[in-house]
Amino acid sequence: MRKFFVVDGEVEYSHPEAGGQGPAEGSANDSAIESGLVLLLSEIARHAEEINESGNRNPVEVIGVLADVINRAAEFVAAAGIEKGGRVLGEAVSKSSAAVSEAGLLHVDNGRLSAQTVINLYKGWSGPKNEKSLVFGRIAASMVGMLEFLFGSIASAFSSEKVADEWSDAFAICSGELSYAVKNVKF
Amino acid sequence: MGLQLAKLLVGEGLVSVDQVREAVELQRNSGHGLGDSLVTLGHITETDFLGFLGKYYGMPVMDLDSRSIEPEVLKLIPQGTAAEESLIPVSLVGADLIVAVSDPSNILLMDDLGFITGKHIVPVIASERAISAKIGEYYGEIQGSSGRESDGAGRLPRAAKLRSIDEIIRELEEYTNDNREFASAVAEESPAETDANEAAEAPPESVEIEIIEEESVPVTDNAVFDLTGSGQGNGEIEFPGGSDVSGFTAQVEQSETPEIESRIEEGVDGARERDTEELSPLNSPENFAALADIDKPAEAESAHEGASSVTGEHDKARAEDSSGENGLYPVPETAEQNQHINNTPDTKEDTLAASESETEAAAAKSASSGVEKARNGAGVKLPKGSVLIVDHSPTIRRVVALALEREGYKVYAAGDGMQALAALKDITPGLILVDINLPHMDGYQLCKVIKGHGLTKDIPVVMLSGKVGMMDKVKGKMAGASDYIAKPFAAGDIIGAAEKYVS
Repeated sequence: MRKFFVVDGEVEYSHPEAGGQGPAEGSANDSAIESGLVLLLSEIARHAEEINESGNRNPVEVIGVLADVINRAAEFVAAAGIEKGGRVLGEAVSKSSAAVSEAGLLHVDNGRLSAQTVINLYKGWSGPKNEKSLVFGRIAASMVGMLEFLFGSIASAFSSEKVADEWSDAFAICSGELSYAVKNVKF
Repeated sequence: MGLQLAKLLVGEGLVSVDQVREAVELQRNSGHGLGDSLVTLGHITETDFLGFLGKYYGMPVMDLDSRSIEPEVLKLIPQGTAAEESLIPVSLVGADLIVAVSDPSNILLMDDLGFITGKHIVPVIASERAISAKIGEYYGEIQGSSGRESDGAGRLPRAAKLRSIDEIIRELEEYTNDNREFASAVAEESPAETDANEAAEAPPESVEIEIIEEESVPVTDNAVFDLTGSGQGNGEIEFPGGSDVSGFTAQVEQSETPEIESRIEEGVDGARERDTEELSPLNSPENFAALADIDKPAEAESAHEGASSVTGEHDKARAEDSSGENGLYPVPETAEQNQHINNTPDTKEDTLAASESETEAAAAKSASSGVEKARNGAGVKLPKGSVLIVDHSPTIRRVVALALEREGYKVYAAGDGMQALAALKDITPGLILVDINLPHMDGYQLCKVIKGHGLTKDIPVVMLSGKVGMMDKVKGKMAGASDYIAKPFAAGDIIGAAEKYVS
């Protein structure tokens, strides 16, 4: 039987050695990842709730919250030994930039996504208001896309296809909830 | 009440599945309740039926036939409500309004009546026949005003309940095959493989059921109000709610029913639901199998539910989709069900259309994979009990379900308080996890309602919230919550609560 590890806020997932995993090790690794994901996704759901509650009062904070969420997911990817966090984050940014040019304003700094340039641009925006809303709406949406990319890398780390499918569903639900919250924000 | 009632009666060995089937057929034609139909067919006496309801729901049973009702009491509840819900106000004692009901499982109805009348509702059980007669006698015939037909006794056809009746028929027709299929799945997992049919027909060989004798559990006092004769007795009786009601001669029957707990050592997902735990020794293995299967349709409902609670529009779509349903669904929710969240429609029409097509597909998928999921679920443990998660966030509902299902719990989910209360009409979870920040009715209110109703007051409620202030915890305690989990939470927090509170 697989069992969730009881975790705490400091060390919420163990880091099984990568490579050469037998079925037992693979299952233990899956359990460790699952255990950490409960905390990660409940954190993201909490952020989505915050965006729903106060996103329109202070839209620029939404960008900061999204950056935090992405960094948290990237930390998870690194801590779980799935990928080097900085590398996968870089891939996520480059993919988003290809789809949404404004996402190029986001960059990886010391293994963390920095949204400071975007925030500065928002605060100093001098163009038409409707364009501002469109531009930052697209950036926020591309950040949700980055999170989905990170989720994809986490799902690929499961040794069990069934478990991966179950969590892929959960990821889709989570990113959908976040995406909806972001779409309701008027930047 | 149909599904639940059928399950209980068959489980107690008071009627057979065939008799229920026959009663359901009658019910379809007459519009009467299942219990009334069983009594009409002579499969159970009215006294036995009411006695069983009273015992199970912990409510007094009232002999309504010779009871007189004061006009000012009648005015408290509109005749349309009385007729439609098969109830009648009987007397007013201080702030307590004693209402005779034929369906004691309807938690929402009690709340509604309290709201309508401004009184504390004290429900007592009476037969549908007697209530109908009293409605006819006191309110008079109800015709035409609402565009619905009367059956001559002041009772309206139960349109809202017909869907439930259809479900019963469908389940009764399917349960044998389904249970054989399920037993087959269990047998495949067990070391000693047995033929699927044998597994269904002879559970002890394929599904090891260890019967553990427990000490006799005292059954709730079953107060039968004897209102025959003068109808003006001199005795007093204390209602469960604590109200003294004079004018009744109370005949309190105390009985003990030896109860057993069936511990399922292998397979039979969900068999440790309360209703199946409380099987009497009269239960046959076939009845046991029937009971284990009876919650299945909720899976299909899950598709209607989906994870649409994120938006008001989706909430509305869901409410419209599931009108007449209990809003309950066992997770998992799937990405397909949630696809409309990612592709948020621009208009309500789009929302509804997307919701319909997606939910239909998901329903088919869900329905077809029910047994398969139980058999092949990765790491699914033996059933431990059930948990209801009430949270507006589909993500939270999903992760809680994943965490608890891994540990062997059956998880139901509701997106708001109303759905949760509707769900509690049909299920009795071992634990309810309630988010404080719910739409329509917050978690504290929901907890109060749960703790204020006789049927659900003993279910532990654990609050979930991102608010971690002392006052929030105090408010939770005051509402009757047993514990408090702060968001975000780790898997261990949720599993720990389930292990602590699910007996």
